[in-house]
Amino acid sequence: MSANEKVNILMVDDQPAKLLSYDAILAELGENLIKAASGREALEILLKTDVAVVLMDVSMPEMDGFEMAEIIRQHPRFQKTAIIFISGVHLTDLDNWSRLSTVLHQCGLLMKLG
Amino acid sequence: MLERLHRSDEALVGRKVLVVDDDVRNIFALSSVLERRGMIVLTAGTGREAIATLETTPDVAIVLMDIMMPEMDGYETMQVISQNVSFRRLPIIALIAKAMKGDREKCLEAGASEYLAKPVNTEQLLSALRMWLHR
Repeated sequence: MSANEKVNILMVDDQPAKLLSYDAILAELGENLIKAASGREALEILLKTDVAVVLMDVSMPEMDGFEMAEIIRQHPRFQKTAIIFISGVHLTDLDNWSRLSTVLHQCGLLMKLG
Repeated sequence: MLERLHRSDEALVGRKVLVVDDDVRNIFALSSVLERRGMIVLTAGTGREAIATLETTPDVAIVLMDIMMPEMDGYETMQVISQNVSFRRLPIIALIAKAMKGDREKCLEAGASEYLAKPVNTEQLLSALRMWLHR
């Protein structure tokens, strides 16, 4: 890959307003930003596109970020893909903590404020 | 042991498999297993997409077909595929959830080479693939 080739950043959130704000924040990176409104849509994009970083919301209906990270990680093609969680999830909840710790050693975590 | 494992995967390495399922989670899980064994995985989320992929990719060696799909189900898709003479020798493994009596016959009649129950047992799937790809 040449140095000036753009990489794909996949942003996953069920709330369109959040996707828009990530878009506004990340636009200055000058990379190629791809939006997905659900885990399902994100997986479909991953199957067809090379993605450098997945930025995703933890709490989403149907398939949440934890489940998605597990599915992505078990695939040999995505074992080294960077996954960054954006979380407003309540980390005082024990169940969430244990699920988080199982995937966190391979993923980054970014706290969503408010 | 390792050598034997390696040898048994010779039938799989580099071969093209088309995975047809409307649930992207199943596609992900299946392609994880198959790519780990060195197979080249193509995917389709609908029967129509599967047929289009087969028509444009002549070297697909085998198809894994989910039966329960909206719009065009696996039976219908397999019937269309088996009507095309150029796919006469293409093996199709049908995957079916909540298998009922008579489903097996229905699958074979529609053009499936073999039939496996969902959730798919990995070893069972791999030995079916080895068998059909070895011929």
